Amino acid sequence: MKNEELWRVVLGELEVTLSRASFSTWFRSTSILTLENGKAVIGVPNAFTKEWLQNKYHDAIVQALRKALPLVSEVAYEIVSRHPPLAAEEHGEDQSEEVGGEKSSPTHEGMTSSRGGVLSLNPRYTFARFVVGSNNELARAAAVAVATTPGVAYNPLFIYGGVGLGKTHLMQAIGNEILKRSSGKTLTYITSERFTSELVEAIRTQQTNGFKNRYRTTDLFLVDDIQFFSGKERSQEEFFHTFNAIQQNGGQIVITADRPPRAIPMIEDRLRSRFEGGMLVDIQPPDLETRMAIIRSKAIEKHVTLEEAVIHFIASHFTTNIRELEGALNRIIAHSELSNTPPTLTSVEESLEGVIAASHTRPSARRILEAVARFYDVTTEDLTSPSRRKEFVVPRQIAAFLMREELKASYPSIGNELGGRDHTTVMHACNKIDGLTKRDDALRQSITLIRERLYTM
Amino acid sequence: MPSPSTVTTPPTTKTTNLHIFCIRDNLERALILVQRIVGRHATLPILGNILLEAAQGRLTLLATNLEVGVRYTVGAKVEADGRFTVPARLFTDLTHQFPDERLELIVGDDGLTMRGEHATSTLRGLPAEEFPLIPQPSLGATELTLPRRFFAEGLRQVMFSAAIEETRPELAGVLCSLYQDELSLAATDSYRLTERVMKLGAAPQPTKELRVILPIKSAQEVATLLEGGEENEEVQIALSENQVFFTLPHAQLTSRLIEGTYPDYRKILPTAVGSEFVGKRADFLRAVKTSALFVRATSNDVILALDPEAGTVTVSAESDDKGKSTVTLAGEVKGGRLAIAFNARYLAEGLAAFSGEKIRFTCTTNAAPGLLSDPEQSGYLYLVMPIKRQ
Repeated sequence: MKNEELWRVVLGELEVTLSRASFSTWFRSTSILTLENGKAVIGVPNAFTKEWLQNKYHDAIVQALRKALPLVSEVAYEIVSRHPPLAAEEHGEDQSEEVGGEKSSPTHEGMTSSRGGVLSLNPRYTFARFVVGSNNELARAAAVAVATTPGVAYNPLFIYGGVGLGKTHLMQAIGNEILKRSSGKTLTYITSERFTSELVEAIRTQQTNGFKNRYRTTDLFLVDDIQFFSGKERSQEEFFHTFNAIQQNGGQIVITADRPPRAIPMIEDRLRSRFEGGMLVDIQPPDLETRMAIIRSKAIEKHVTLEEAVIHFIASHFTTNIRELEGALNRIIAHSELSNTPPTLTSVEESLEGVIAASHTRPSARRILEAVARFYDVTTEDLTSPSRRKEFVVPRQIAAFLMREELKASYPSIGNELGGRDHTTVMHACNKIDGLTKRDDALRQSITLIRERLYTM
Repeated sequence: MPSPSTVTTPPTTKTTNLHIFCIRDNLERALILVQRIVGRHATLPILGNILLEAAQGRLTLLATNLEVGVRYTVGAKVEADGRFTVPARLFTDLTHQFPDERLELIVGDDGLTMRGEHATSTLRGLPAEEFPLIPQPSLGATELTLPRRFFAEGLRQVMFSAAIEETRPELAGVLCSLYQDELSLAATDSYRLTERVMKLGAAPQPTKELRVILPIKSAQEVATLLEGGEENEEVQIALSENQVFFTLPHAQLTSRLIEGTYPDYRKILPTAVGSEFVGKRADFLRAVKTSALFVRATSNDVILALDPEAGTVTVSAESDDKGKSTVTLAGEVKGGRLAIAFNARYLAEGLAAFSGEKIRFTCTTNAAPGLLSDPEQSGYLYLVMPIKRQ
């Protein structure tokens, strides 16, 4: 368990410094196999990965490991089998029996019966473990209602909110709860990306009927990260029909996304209106008290005791994302287990120093411009240009608002950054956006997303 | 424990830009083999490229899809060492179309330029630094040599029976086992099985049995690479850490091996002979193909009926929507009466895989697998599961 968490900390560290492509190609299915006497053995899935890590990322890995665990002196790599040997043996026996003619009818059914696409629920995600705060109590109440009377209360239930705030947790809690109450129900949990790739596969192998039947008969359909359907027309169409079929059969549908339906670009209107036809609930970043409650409950889960001061320290330094919070906690636990002393405020401050410094680098005005431009698909030049076309004005105002909020910049300096605008223009922009965020959900969500990107870029 | 492994260190002093002269045909021949490996990789676009490496007076082409890696050396006049990657498809097509026989390849700021007497083309590429490193055999690798053509031919004979789907990873490959001077290759998708046993004749090799499962896609590439060449040419094989390396003088292919236990298929090879039929292979195959036109789409079954008393063998099929067909075969029939249903495609593929004029079919009961073999040549057999009939 300890190795697992340590590796997660290291991966978190590496992920920021590497390109997304490199990270997902080379660090997939890696783990720490053993960690003894300062020597860490990293398990890798194949020889290519081994070569690459050994020759290209060795220094970065060593550094990241040392940062989390200064004792590490040596790092080696080992290729590990993807299938535990036990399972392979079982396969073997099973197989010889089958070739032996026991169930030997070569019907094609036997060859394609896998329901490989369906992901399973994480049993840890339950309502009991979900920490409620003002940021998420509506979402939780709706989820509980759905779990108690599936298909009746709110159908579909659409949960949206930023990264690492517990959307997937709530969704899976519904699944776990329903399974607990009535074991006869069939449940499908899938990400929209998976849905798309399975559809593509089904089209390729001309088995779209099987694909359709598989999903349309389910009692509870949980779809994670629906925003990835954006622009995928065929997936949307297939999903639309699946959606209707399940709803007609009285099945419950739960959907999560990182923004409300209206803010997801390139989604067909008929699908959007269906999403909005049920219950829309959002999860906002937790406030300080909730964050502290979360740390307390995680600490209990992991059997560590933390001083109040330590809890407060972590909660006040990791503000936007619960996953970060958990990462910080894991780091602290790893440290204290290693040094065999309970975590104190000083030791915690030390062990989180690097992480906090990284997450607290103030974004520059330039980065805000870039993030806003990227989000709205315009250029930074558009934002600083004199043009007052509608598609530039709102992004420009948002940029001004963010510079004010995030950088605490003065109105005149913001005006400068935005192509030499008057400070009164900037004031108007900030006030306008500030006012709008109180009324306009979609806008508020967009701003949250831009903020997230600012701090994770 | 992690075993020590030698590390391919790419030339660290990257001071010169690649510059070579070579013959178009040589380059094209190499590209045909190398670009087969290149696949589309969504997350790492550089895998769609081929790495060109000029060093020590030779040009080496490398490609990998992270399952299989291949390097191929081409004779060239090297003016300056260097490394660069270019999109595989475009480079292959360009080389194929290029009007000139003598080529100059030179890397500049805007990419790789291919120049001949009549044409000049420049391809954009990516720097070589991001290209994956292709593993090399570790120091303690098990090494052996096999006749290359022999091995390629054996692979071709068995690999069509391997499972295509990866629901059972160990079946999506060819089992290669080597014991003393006997090499056996086997593949099965659990509905049919092919086995080829070859005597190596030459020096007996390892004393303990070596068993590895070569992924089916790699097996295809290995067979393609090893085909051709002189009668007695050998391929060097090295095994280490779930990785296999096939080395020829000018080329090397490496692939991961499939982990897992291959089913002990020998247990189910029939030992008793119940009913037997020996006839002309071509006739048998045509009979199956004829009846296959009438099979039910759901079960795809033809019925093989042996009647030793009457001395007849028939292949027949019937379906409600298409009609029915019966073909009678000439040949020798022995043993008891038997009527057994097989998947027409499996039976036809098995019959087509043999090369001899005659074929022997044996079977014990109508619930046991049918066995095809060559009555005049041993070492190759095909086992096919029957379909149970109501």
